[in-house]
Amino acid sequence: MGNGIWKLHARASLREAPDGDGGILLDTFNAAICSCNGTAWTVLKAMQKGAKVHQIVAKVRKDFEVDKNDAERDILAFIRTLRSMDLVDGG
Amino acid sequence: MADRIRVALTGFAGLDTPEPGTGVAQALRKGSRGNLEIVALGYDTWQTGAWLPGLVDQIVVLPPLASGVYSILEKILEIHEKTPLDALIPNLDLEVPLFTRLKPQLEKAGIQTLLPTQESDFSINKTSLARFCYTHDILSPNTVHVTDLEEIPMRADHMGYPLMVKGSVAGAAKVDNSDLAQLEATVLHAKWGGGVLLQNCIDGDEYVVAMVARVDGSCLGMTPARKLGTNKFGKAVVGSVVNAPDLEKTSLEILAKLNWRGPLELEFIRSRVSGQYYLIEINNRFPSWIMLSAYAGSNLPVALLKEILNPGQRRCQKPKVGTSFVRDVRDFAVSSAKLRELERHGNIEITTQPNRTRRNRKRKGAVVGVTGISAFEEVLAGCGVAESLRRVPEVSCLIGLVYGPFDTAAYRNNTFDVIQQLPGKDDADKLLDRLLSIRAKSGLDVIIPCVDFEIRRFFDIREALENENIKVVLPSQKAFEARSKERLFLKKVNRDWGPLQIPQATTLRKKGDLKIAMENQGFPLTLKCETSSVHVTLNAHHALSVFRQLRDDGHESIVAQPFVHGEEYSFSAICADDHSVVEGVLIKKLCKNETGKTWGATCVDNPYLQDSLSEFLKHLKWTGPVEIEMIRDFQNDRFVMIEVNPRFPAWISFTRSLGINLPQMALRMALELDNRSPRQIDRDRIFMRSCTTPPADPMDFAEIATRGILNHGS
Repeated sequence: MGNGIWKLHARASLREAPDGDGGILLDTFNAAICSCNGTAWTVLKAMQKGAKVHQIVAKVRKDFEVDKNDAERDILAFIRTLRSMDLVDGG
Repeated sequence: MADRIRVALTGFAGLDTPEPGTGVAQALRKGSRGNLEIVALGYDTWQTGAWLPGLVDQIVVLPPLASGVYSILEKILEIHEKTPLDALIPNLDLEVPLFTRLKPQLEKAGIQTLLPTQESDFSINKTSLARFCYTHDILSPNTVHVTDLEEIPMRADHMGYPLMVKGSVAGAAKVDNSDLAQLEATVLHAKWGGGVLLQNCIDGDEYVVAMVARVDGSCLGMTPARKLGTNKFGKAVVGSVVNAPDLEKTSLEILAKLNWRGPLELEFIRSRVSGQYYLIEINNRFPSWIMLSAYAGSNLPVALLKEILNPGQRRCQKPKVGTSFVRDVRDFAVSSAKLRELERHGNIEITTQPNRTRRNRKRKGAVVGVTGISAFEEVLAGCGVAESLRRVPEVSCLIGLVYGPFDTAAYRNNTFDVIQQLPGKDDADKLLDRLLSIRAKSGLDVIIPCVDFEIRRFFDIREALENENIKVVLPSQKAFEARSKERLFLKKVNRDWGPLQIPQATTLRKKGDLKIAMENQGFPLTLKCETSSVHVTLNAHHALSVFRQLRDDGHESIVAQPFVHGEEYSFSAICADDHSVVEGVLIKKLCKNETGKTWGATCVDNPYLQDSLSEFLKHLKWTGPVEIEMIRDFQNDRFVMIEVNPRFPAWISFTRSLGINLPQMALRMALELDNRSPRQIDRDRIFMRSCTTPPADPMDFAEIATRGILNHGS
């Protein structure tokens, strides 16, 4: 995984849940819907404008109590999943 | 559309495979500002979509298509003479070439259309499409047209399985072996003629594109969507607008090769392996899901009508991506006098306004949970029960209990206050835990189970629920077992039930039993299981195919009975603790779908039969709701019992229209409230059902799928 900027692809559309706890990621290309918890939502919002991994980690650690290494490992795994779905560019 | 416009549409029938006219009319209605009159044209009185309250202004019965183009033209010109029509939009495949032929006469009379040429239309019909795709280098699955049905097994084996068998006009089935291929081909050929098409299956997701082409063949608008859920007929029940540039590009390239005018639908499968779009079908009309274009802000029927009246319209805006629909049903009642008027005069004016009712907030009453609220494959009884309980004073909160996000009535935000997901089909303990957790969070006083497969599970947990003060509206388990098909039809009941007849049956445990049943009972032969549809088989080959299929589907108990010819009746009632019938309604089925489900009915009065049914229920020691289905044998006029269902039927909301709301009465019984006020049946009512395509929010799918709850109340 590169150290560059990760940005959500234009085909990914984000909709926040009415109660503000997470939301859904809609892949507009195939209408696939992914439900996201609060942590995933923070990562996706960070990537909407584009962000480096360390910036995303900082955002997540600001909102959630999590160890830096655990956060980085989980965020990288999440980015890998998004990349396999063609929903993220960069790195 | 500034001035008053009067448009004639066809395609309001089709029941559970709805013709597109209903959706087109709804889209036009949504896009008009009260300046539109819609005339529904059809071929019989049971165009149930046209009867939807507030949809059309006039219904007209045309002569059958087989009577020829000029008798249809004559009827249309007769209507036109009385109240002029501005435009005509045909919505059925077979009508498009016919109206293309009539175009000069219609336009001369002042009725505008936008239709393809006969050559364009012919090039895309189901039997010509493979050639069109080959000629224009369009990717499509291997397809052969077989006119000699004896060749089906050989051709099917040669192509390999799974395989699609398609009718020459409509209808399709996926098959896995030559027996099924032969069976489906026989059925489709008998219905549509012209042989069948065999088409290789492409593994992938289904995409559909609705389009309108201007008179010069250019694209006026398009709505691309993905089918998220398809029923057993392959019809889209859930769909969502997508933003797929390569799909749009492919569609525009195909349109350019078609030289098309007017509406059309392209159907594709996107290969899971290559990601390429395979064209599987082109339809010469709008699809039945066309309301999606209106929800997405790119109303194609409105665009078409504008183009018909003023050619050269600007391209429609792009549809809003993610906009979704769910196919649901709406039950309603119409005046029997109006139906009779249409039958006798072939033409009626409709003045009904749509019902605009809102849920009451902050009511006093019980919290009631209803299961079986789906019309995905067939309309389940919970849909009708919920409509019967909507806004009744005894209910403060109506909970829809679903098994997944595609339980289609879950999105009726005017009916349910909240939707709660139940666990899968097998585990009674998990079901109990879930119901108790719902009770702890939002309260739950009464549950009305409405799906056959879940009823045994509810028996398992009934006592535990009642210990928690949750009432379950069900018969006793003993009565439930006594009405099972094996017990009911195989046990000799030495009793005269008057006009009611309980037929004998044979249990089929192995192939040899079927052979004996066929020899003894002949054909048509009915094969039934405890929780599946009835299959009427016509010959030994057919019976064997169905028997194998039922066994493969895991049905252990199959019974065979001689088929009885006659009109179908259904009796729904509720029985008190002393097993007497508190109230019951007897209906005659006037309109059924292909699986025999009721889509049109009238209430009938037959005290002699109703007394016998009451006696029979007392004999079974029944309590709570029940439905008894019967056929009136045309030879001896006796009412032959087909089935006893331990729940309300799907048509039950009709009892509310008649003035004796049976689910409300059952609820009152469960709440130990008095039910004795006298009731008058309003007999001038006919039950009807039509498909509708309400909008749905992808967020709501996700809420149900992941959180198991969808709140309509706030």
